[in-house]
Amino acid sequence: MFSADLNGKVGKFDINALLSVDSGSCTALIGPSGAGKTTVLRMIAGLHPVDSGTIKFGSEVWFDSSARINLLPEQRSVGMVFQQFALFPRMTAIGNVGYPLSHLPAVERDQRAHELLVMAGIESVAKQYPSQLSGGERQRVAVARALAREPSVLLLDEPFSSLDGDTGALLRSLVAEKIAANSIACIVVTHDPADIDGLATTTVRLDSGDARMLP
Amino acid sequence: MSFTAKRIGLQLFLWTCLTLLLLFLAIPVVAILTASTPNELIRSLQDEVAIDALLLSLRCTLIALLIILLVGTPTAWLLATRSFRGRSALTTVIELPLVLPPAVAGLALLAAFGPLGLFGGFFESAGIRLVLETAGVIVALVFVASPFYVRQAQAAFAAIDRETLEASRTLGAGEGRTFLHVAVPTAAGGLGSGAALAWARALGEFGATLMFAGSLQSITQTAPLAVYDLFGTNLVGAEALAAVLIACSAALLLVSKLSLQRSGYGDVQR
Repeated sequence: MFSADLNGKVGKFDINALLSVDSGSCTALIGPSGAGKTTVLRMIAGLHPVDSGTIKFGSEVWFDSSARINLLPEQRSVGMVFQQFALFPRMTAIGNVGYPLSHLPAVERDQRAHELLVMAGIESVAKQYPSQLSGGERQRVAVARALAREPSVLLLDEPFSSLDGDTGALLRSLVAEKIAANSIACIVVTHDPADIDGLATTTVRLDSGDARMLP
Repeated sequence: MSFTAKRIGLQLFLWTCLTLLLLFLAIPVVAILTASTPNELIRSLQDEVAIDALLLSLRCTLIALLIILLVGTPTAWLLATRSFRGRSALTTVIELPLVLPPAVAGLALLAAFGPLGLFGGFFESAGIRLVLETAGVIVALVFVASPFYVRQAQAAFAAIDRETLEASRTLGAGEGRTFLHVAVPTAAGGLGSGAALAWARALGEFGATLMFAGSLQSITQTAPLAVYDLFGTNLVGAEALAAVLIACSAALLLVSKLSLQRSGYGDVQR
């Protein structure tokens, strides 16, 4: 179980969000543009300061303001898909996906990265650089890379927005399989009803920084 | 005057300015390259003074460049990725040698590291001599050339999309690995351009080296100092060395420009 009690600031308004996500399930974070949805993901990943609150996964405490615990981003078991993909421009697709697997021997790393590219349906572009890929291919590389680390918490920011209907549905179901199989707690920021229907089991609405669970 | 006539007049004015400036800058360079016949130039380059000076220049500038890269790259990363009080003042101090008169730079180095300088006693007790020594040449080169690299490297690191670096951290990489495996390759074009500029500046350095390290053949007499030395006794020899320096500077400037052009992500080849 992942839980977060986040209190912080972004721009002009305060963020106050209480989230809990069961392992193996996904929560959709919805709301108008500029409501702070991406900031909530960044807070969980350790990329945006949290003023007070807690972030926990199971018995692991990632952030606790009262106990002065604040793990670095690399110490939190997260996989994050950024809205603009944030691929490494000087690495090939397989290099990007293999990046979080540096602890493995090179052959095993490449094999594992290749499996993920196959899963995402983009093994044919393994040796291509991000600048040579289409928007949809980049997005699939970003998803495969985030899953490569086998994270406890998966943070997806508009993860399927560049994909056509069929490809989006295929990747959505693959991500749902991974979430269930690896007991990942997932939070997806989305405007797409297909993500809410096809991936999420609960929905939280964020308005001007305040989170509210929807029935 | 009609609109068309005004437009033609403006075009004529702009192109005239360009032509005048181009001629003014290019004619002295062409004049040096054509002052002596190729045979005379080649014969002059076989002179012991010229060979010593060129080899010393190559050795000293390469060592200086290595020091600049090793210390300047992390410095540029720090300045590009951290906000802290006094950062602008710190950057100004690092960039100061860009605008210092070379003789003043030499004098400043003497005041700091010379035998009677601020740290002269420390270096003397450590058995390190800089004045009139090859090490002094390297110190002078690092002093005048490092801002050229740090400035360019800082801009290259600052231009990296922040989310690219953040993505690396969320994938389990600490700052060190992010710096080495993501930031440096991404900024490689800018870093290469800065390194070429710094190398070119070091290769052409004259005043600070002369003031701080002197001009002793095969010890501290780099190619620009040898040009000055030969000027009074062997004009063709001076012109030959000058021609080599022009060629090297032009090549480094070209490398710098090409590196910057290639720093766009779109031209990464398989």
